[in-house]
Amino acid sequence: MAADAALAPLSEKDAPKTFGERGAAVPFTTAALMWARVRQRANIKELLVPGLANTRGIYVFEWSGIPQRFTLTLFDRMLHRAIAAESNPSPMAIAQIANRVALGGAAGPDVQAAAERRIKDAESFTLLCRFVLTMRAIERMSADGTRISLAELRTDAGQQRAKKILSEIASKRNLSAQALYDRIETLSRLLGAVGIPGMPVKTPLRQLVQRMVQTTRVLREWADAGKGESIIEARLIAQVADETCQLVEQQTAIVDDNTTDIDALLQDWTTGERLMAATVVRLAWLLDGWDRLVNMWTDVADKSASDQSKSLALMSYLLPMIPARELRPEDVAKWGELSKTLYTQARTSETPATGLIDVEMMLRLEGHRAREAT
Amino acid sequence: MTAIDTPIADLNSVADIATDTAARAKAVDDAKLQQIVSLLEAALERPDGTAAKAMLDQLRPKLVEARPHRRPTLRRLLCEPFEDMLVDGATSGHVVGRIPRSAIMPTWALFLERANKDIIGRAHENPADKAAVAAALDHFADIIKMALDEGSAFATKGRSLLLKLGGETHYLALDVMLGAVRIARQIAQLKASLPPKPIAEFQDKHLEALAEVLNQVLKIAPDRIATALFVVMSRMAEPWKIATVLETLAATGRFKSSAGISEFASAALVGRLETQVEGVQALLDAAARPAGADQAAPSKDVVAATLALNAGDAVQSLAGTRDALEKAGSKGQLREVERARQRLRELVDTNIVEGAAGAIVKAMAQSGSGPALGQRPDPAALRNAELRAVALKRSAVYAGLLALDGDVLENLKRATEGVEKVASELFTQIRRGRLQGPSREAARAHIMGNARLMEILAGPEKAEQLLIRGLEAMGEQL
Repeated sequence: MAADAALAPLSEKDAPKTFGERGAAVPFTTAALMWARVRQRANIKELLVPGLANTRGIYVFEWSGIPQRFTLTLFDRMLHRAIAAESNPSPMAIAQIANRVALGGAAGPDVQAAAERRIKDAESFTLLCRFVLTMRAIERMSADGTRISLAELRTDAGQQRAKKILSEIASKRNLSAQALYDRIETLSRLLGAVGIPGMPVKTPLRQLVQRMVQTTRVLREWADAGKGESIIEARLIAQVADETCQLVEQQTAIVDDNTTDIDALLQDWTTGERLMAATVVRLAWLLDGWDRLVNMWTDVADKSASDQSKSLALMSYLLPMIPARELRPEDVAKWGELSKTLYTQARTSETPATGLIDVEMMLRLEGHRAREAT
Repeated sequence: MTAIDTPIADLNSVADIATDTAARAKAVDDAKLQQIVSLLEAALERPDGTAAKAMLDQLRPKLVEARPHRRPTLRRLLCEPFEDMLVDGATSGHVVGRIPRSAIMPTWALFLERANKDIIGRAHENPADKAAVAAALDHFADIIKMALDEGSAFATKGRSLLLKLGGETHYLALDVMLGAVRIARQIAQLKASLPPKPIAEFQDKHLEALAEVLNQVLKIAPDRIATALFVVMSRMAEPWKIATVLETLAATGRFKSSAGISEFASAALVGRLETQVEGVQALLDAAARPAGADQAAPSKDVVAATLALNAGDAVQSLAGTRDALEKAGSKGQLREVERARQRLRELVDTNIVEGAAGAIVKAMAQSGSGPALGQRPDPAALRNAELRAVALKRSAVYAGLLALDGDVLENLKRATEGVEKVASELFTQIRRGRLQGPSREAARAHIMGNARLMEILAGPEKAEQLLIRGLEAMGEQL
């Protein structure tokens, strides 16, 4: 596909087949780009913008030309530059870059403070995950039923005891103590952001899934009560959110089952590590873009039915549909039906004009970033 | 570093992570939230209901998002006819077509004190029983009417009622409530047949339904036509167009009254004027109130930004009302509009516009873009500067309607020049300072703070130019 060209109105045939083709959501604060995604095609980085010019089509622009096409906010100018240097713009990479740019203060002090909190929380979740994995490993792998509690692990003496027990376990399994520690360390770095059973706090990822479940229920009730004009959109968004949550649950179940049976995971390490890494990546792609959708709904949750209808119509424009090749064969038909409903739903766009920055929308989108980290 | 080698200091920093983060995230799932809300709502009716109310208030942001099923209570059902007229604040002065929310509880207490226990018992036990609720509603109207009649017939009873209700505003609100409750069925019919608010345009079927209800009200309670119109106007995107709606009804013969359509419409519009200004004043008061008992009151800058966001609708509405009354209103009514506009102008001028440029530049200076360059900017000062800039920018959208456009533009210009000057001095210091390490990082943060403020005041182009100049002063490129 030639860069900087508009696609014809999107149809099922044109729908992206893989997550990579769909692109990763970029947390721009420029109103016109609020649903934009980035993707890498060989050496060319592209920006995909849905909903421009009152069409359901997706416009594709060459990444380098964005500042000439749109009046970007200061944060987006910095974000645009930073993403340009990223060779693999995956959701996880974009999230890290966006947080780094926010730390610089380009989106104001609130977003900056939220970025600092996000980093601190991520470290805390990783540490907490290590504790729980250590507890679980001791519980499952020590032959004599030895246990250690989270409270004990937080003490100096508890740490020493855990270290000794893990060393004994390692030697019985023909492993060096360091290798066992490294495996736990690697797992906690991978899974800290996802969360594992036994962690007393829900990670942001699991909180997002919970908010999606709540939004699904609320939107179904909204549609059943016939509250506004966008009933079809409300049902569609609810259904896509519901189906996405089911796919997410399949992945979190993999994490949960494997970390519960941690002895098998640590023993068959090469396969286990690969499986966990792939699961974390898939989770990030499955949930990519949903935080903004859920926030958009939260913004209008206490507004009039008319405002809610407008937001729902807008939200339906960039429902993160799961590309066909990323689905199990038995799920393809179901998602195909959802895509069909989406693409036949012809509504006018509410996307604001692109000439100037929309300060209110910029502040609203910045508010989302600040709120997500609280 | 492994889990086992993690320094104990780090471990202690997460010691209370569960409590801390859980409280922040309020990560309650659907079922649990439903359970909590049901328990608290049931407790609302008990003598210790205040604590339950405080807890529900704390949960409000979560409730807005998760929308758990709310328990239908008799009190809530009795309020339904006049819910569109409920306003926050407004605890003194004359009320026209509006009811302070604070009047509900004393009125409810008065009702419980005088009501027939059997009638309210049946409705209370089963709020889904429509006949029982309708009987309770009629009973409510009878009791309120009796209390008002007694109050006007006997001065001592009037004073006692006034004291019981907690003031004149609540006393006056009784009559507004009574008016709405007397035509409760018509109001319910109106709500069911009109499209969701805000109504941009009435289709023929909506006009038909509106006329049917107004004609019913004209028969059973002609003095309550204005109450029905208040309900309709509260649902309209542009309530000042009520006169046009009524004219259409009259022209098609669907609703006619000897009182004259324009009188109805003009009276209803003027009745809303006070509400609009009081509404903005209430927003101002709410913005200035601390979020919790143990928290400080929001700064003047936070109040300005909040007011600027919320005043826009009232200003637009006032302008629409003036246009409508210029066609169909009296000179006296136009004077009322002008008085309301002046009050709104004063509110916006005092809290947002006046001294804004000075406050922005002062806050920037306080953030540390001066002699103490070695330190990172003070986030609170930066935030205050940003809030004032946001307030000013927001007010620019409607300043013309308040004849404040010149003042807003002047403040924007002066603030932009002020930030430019602060930035230039900062860049000079950076060039002289040959900064290294933390000082360099701090300087970068100051540059970004200036650029961000410039973005809000004058747009991203100027902000980027300022950022580039700042980075050049440090020997760097964007």
